[in-house]
Amino acid sequence: MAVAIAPLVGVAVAAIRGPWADIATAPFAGYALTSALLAVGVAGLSTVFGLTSAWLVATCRFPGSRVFEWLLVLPLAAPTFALAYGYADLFDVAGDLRMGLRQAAGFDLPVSMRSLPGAIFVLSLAFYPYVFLAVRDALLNRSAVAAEAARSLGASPGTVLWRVTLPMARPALAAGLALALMETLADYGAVSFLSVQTLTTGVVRAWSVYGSPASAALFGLPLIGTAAVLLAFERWSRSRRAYGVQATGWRDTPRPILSGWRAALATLACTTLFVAAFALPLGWLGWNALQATPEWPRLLHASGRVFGLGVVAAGLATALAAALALSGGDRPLLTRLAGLGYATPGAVMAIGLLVPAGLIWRNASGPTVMFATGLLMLIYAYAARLMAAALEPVSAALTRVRPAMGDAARTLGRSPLDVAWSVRAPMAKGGLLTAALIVFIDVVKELPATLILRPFNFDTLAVLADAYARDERIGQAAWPALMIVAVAVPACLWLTRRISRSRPGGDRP
Amino acid sequence: MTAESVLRLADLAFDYGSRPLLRDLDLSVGRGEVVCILGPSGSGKSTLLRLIAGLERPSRGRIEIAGRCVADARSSEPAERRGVGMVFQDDALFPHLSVIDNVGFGLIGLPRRERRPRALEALDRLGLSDRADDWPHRLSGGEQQRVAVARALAPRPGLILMDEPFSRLDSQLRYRVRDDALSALRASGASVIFVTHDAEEAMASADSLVLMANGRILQFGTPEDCYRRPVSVEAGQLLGPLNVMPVDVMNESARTPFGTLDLPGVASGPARLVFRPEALRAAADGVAASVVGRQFGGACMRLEVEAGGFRARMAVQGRNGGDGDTIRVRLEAGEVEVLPG
Repeated sequence: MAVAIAPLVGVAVAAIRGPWADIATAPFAGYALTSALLAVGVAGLSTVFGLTSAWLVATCRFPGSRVFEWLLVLPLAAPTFALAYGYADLFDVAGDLRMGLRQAAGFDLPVSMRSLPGAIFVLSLAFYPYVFLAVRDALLNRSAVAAEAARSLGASPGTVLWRVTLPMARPALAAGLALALMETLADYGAVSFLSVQTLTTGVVRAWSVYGSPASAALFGLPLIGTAAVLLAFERWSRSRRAYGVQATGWRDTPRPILSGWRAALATLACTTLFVAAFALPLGWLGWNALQATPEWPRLLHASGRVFGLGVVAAGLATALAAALALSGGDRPLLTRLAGLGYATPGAVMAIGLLVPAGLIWRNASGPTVMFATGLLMLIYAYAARLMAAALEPVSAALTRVRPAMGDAARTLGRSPLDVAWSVRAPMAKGGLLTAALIVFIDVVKELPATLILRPFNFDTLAVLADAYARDERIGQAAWPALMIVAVAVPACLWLTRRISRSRPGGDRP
Repeated sequence: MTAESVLRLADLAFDYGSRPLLRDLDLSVGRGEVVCILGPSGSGKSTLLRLIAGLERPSRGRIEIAGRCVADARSSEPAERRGVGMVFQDDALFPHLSVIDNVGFGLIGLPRRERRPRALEALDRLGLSDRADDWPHRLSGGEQQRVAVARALAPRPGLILMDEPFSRLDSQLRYRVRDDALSALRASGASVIFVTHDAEEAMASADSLVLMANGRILQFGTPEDCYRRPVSVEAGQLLGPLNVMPVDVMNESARTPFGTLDLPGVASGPARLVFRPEALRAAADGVAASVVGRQFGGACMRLEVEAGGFRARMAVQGRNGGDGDTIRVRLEAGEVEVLPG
């Protein structure tokens, strides 16, 4: 468990020890305010997007409702910077769209994507699926029994919605929102491209521009604090989410079939959301990509590296999570600490690791040591951040192993270690695979920690995209960004299907 | 004890934290014997099985299996080395293994090619050899429990423990699965200890009963003995309704509302007479009693009767005298047990 916490201690040490660079104090309040406004805006807008779509998809039937169940999750597969590139270019003052509008209609759109509202819009589109998934599952997981009981007690369908269905989904909304906010505060790629200065961009800038880990750590401290609060909030909501999920006496809730203008409106709303969050920005990126000639050697090189990193990190994080879970990882304190690692922005985690890395670099130098240490720290950062994400599916799978199964194996002559290997691990196989996949996808999309910790000239797809985008070569940046999406989409679909299968009644046609 | 005893418990005790769960347990189980532990929930039955299996460690006393000490207060042999089979209450089948692999799970010590025939043999005893390559979740509840029994049986242990193995099944199915399982177990020659809270099941299938309450053994004996000659009211009530009548014994006899009873060899003083509902018989020459309650029980009619201020339960066969306001009854002296008052 020390794995996840050590970097956080490193941040605290670095922040207190100084010396801080000049930028440390002056813009601090401004960055913090921007981060806060960004969080509030994303909370509001992603609730609107996520709640409405989840409610439509989970409680009604309309043309395409089945498809939207998974289509609306897809934005999770796109890194935020991909959306940011797409929208920023689309609404660029000198872009085709605005030029065309000015010529055709004689007026200009009063918006700029490179602004706080623009960042709120982009991040809300990127992160509403957390809300969507949580609320959709809560609404689907409610058995018809509760609603029927309410009806039998004299409640009208409308009353059931307000007094039974929505209150039951409220903890899920809170949990989904907490995840969305953690990601928002941790985001670097989109906000930095949209020229919005938050605490997280402050962390990266303090390190990369001013070379001051102490200042970076100072920016990181409030982020760790907020992450801890969000995490506690998420756990608390989740502890209240258990109701309604009972396998026994499970009955699917019948969904009213919408028709006429209602159906059209529902389909239109979901389509608009999907187009805005996925098809439009990524399509625009694709269009741009086709105009540019990709630098294949660099792309392939970066793909190979990020693939290797992803595989190693996924293996490591999953192995750690499995070891933790198999050795009785249901101990709440340990999982909570692992969770703090997950909630901590990658940039902050990376700064925390600079302290031990600095120690190594001071005592041993040379390009090989530099390279190896950087790589090691990078993998360490991924594992520490993502172990909690891996722990979740592994523990969930292990709850299927009932105590009696272990006891039975013991009485059949197997030692405890043998029981873990021949009963518990094989039964958790699906969970282990899910865990590894989640980690892999996150590593492929990861940007800030990689930027800080990577060895010199060690590019991943995300780093490459960021580098191109900085030079305003959107067409070039589109290639690595879309390659990430191409890898993440199938994995995302597979994970969504697994989740929906695992709920009660989920394996029914 | 004799060399024939497969299991011997001596002064066994178990504390959960500071809370004593089991106390002063002494028990001996012979080879091939089927012993049933009966008691209300919370009486420590399951804990006792887990101690014998090696899944818990005793706080005091010792456990011997086949003449070898496997646990005392200082050391406890782990479950995997005791060679004791166990069948659990909820289906503890391994869902990631096929039926045959579940049954073969305990045969790891055998050469690979001998495992399948041995597992098949165990399955065949339970009548399930045709489902060998199926998956546990595709079996019915009854079939799953048969597989669990076959799995415990396959390594040919000398002792098999069963913790309410049939309680999840509905009653019709339960009797059939239980009878099949027990006859397979008897045929294997293993001793069996099984836990239940169903008195009828216990009496119908055991050679001896262990009656337990509050972590202690109340009585140990044949089902018939335990039923007819309870050593205490508490023990007697575990096996079914019991009438308890306080009396004063004088000159080896006692006067009861149902007539005077001869009690040869019983010392004078206060005592309690205990008897089953069947000990009261409808008889033309009996004492008049008023019927205050009546419950239809299929083969018999269960009555509550009152005579001389004493309310007693009785069971009347068929339609015999079951429909008046009064009934004439006689208490069979031979079916009455005397307990100290």
